[in-house]
Amino acid sequence: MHAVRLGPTGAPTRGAQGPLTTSNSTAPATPVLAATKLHIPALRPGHLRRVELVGLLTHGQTRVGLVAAAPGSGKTSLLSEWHADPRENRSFAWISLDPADNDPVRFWDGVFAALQTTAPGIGVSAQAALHSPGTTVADQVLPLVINDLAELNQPVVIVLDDYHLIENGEIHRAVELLVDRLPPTAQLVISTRSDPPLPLSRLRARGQLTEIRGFDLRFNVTEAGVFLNDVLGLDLEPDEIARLHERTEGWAAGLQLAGLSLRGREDHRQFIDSFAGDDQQIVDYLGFEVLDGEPPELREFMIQSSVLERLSGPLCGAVTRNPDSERLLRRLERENAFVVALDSKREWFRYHHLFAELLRHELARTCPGLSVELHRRASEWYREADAPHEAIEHAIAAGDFGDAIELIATHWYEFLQRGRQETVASWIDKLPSETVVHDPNLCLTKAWLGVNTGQLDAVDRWIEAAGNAAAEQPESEGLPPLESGVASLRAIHRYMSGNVSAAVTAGRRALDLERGGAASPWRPVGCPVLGLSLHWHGERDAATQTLTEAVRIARANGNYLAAMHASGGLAAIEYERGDTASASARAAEAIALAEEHELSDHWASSLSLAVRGQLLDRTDDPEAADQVLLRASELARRGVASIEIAYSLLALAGIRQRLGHYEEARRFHEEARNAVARCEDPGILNERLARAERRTRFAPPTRAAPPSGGGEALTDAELSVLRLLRSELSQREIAGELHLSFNTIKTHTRNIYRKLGVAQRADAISRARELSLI
Amino acid sequence: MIGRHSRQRYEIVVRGRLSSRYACAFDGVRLVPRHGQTTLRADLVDQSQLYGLLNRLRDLGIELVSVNPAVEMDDAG
Repeated sequence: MHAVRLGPTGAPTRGAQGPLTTSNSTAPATPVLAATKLHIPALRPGHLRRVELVGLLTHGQTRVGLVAAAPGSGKTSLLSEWHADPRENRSFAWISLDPADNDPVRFWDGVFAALQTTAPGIGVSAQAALHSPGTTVADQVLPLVINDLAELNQPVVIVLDDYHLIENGEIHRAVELLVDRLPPTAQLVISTRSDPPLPLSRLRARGQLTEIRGFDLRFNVTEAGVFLNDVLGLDLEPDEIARLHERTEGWAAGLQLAGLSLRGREDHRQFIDSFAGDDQQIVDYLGFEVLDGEPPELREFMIQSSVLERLSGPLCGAVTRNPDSERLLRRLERENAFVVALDSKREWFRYHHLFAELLRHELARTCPGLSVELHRRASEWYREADAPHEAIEHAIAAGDFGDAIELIATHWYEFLQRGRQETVASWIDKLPSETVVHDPNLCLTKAWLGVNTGQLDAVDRWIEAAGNAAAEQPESEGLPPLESGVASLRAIHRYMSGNVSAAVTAGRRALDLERGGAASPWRPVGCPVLGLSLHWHGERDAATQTLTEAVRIARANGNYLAAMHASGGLAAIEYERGDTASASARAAEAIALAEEHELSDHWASSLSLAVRGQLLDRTDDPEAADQVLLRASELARRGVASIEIAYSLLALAGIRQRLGHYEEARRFHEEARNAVARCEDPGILNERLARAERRTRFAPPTRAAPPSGGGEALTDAELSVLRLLRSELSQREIAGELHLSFNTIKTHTRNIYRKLGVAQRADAISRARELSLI
Repeated sequence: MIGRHSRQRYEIVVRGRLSSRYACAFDGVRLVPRHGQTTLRADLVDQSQLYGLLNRLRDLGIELVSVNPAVEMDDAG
């Protein structure tokens, strides 16, 4: 596989935004496709009315409705009929699910979009929370939409069609939660081929479930007669109808296929005799009957277009190379009713599922290997229509992994920005793992997915794999962006893992590499991360310079997330310097950015809030400070950067202490200490922690474990000094920090070295780590 | 249990006779019709393959009668 470069500038076309950013665009790449998912299918001409079943749905105003039956039973038709029924005056929020909806962000986006067709404001705040990193659907997203539902004036029915396509347990659990907390103003109706993993027995027992199953959906003899004679216009005798009814057992698809087979046939009786007397599976027998009965041009059209999930005139034209595709589609819809319109403009259709399966088998049987070419054409069309997801799926189906990889390389960044990590992950997972491991950009994408989802352990492995894969490539101009990408990713990863010195090293390297070549998409976030790392590392001036530059670049590029994060860092530095006026102004600037660009739910806004909180504390408004610091800590926890978590928590512990809530203060302090402990090199946070512990006397219990060889244990004072020895501070500075004399520190240090059996500071630290003293 | 490279034979009985025209739908599966039912004999690697096959049967509107591991694996099928 050849190395694939990122786009010409390495940046996505939607404007350079940082990879840790969130976009509030919920518009999908192809608006037309989205409209088809939300479209409530119209009743087809000749639809047989199921008055009683609709009555069950209209009157049974239970919390949940379930329509569970085999394909071709008439589930969707029933729900359409229910929607159109004059007895039913509730609004319907309808979504037709597809396999891509196993991505939770896409699933819930769809549900909220469906709700918005009934009332504009519903689910808007939930959508914003959905797209903010670090939020969970259960805790932060659903409560918002449940509130909206509770405040509705008009009741609403939420329909999830084809729910059997959802296999993601995370989504099932969230749906269960939704069902549990659904207010009386809403009803959830699920249509499926397999019973969903929801507590159905419980719902049944409580009378909270209206259930319509395969058996209920079957046509009785009378209905069969109406359908065959009145709707399809056949002229069958009662006993013929009875035999067909018996053979098909009232299954809608079976009756429909039988009816279609009979149309245009002179001798009904002979057909019915053979059919009824045969034990061949119905779709097998009749499906091919119907197919064989179609004129060759139509048959070929149907078979070839079966590779498509959705059909339109232009798309079918591209795939089948038949210029009459538009006309053929409409003819299909009129005649054999196995094509279903997906929108009110009748631009998009799909085959009824059963028929699609049949067609695909026929394609494989009669033209083996052709499907590859057909998928390729479909991929090409979707690529030009700017629908990357579908283009990628078809490319993979065609086995064109090279094309798929190129598409992924162009679009993964944009999709990650929209929070669609599972979608991106699913693309890569569909590729053969051999292919992935040997492509440096794919490895980097996997690493990036790891960072975005907080799975930091995988990140290093994938970065290494990227490096290995790049080494295998022949020399090409594609390399500089890759190396700087790796360096930026490493810097961000180290920062998130709490190793500030390593983050500084990697960040500086990334900057050097980027000076030479094209900017990588990671740069806009790499800059603030380097600046922040420098700050925690104690290099205040370099940090200020880098962060100021970072803010400038970020603003120029419209990357408000990076600008906000960097401004927060500057605010923290100014606060440390004691320049409260500047700190206040910077924090205000960052917070304003967050509000203006809907980033107030993003974890990166926690720094600026933490500074504001500490400033409020000084102006003698501890309650206000407390609220702000609480929010800062909450937000910080959503990210995985332990350093920022510890920073907020320490400030919060301080204010709680001052407000007299000692137990809570102790707990927050404990949490902060654990966060610092998780950091391999937390830089100046050690000193902050030590300072806080001295002031509040929240020191941890003395570790009684003596060094091996039966040496003495370290005293509390010695432990405090030991912790600061981990930083860059000189002994004189440590003395200043702990408000002790220089001589005292020297004494403590000597004793520490003696007890640990070492002669140098660095050794003392490693020994202390071995013994879990720090 | 099933080893990494070994396969387990399953016999899945469905209602109705499936013709050979349908047979291409099921990769690597032998169809044995008998008395209004068909037995599908498949050598499967793991549970995921089994569930995958069952889902496809479901999606074709084919009615399941039974699913059982075959007692012996014999090449004659």
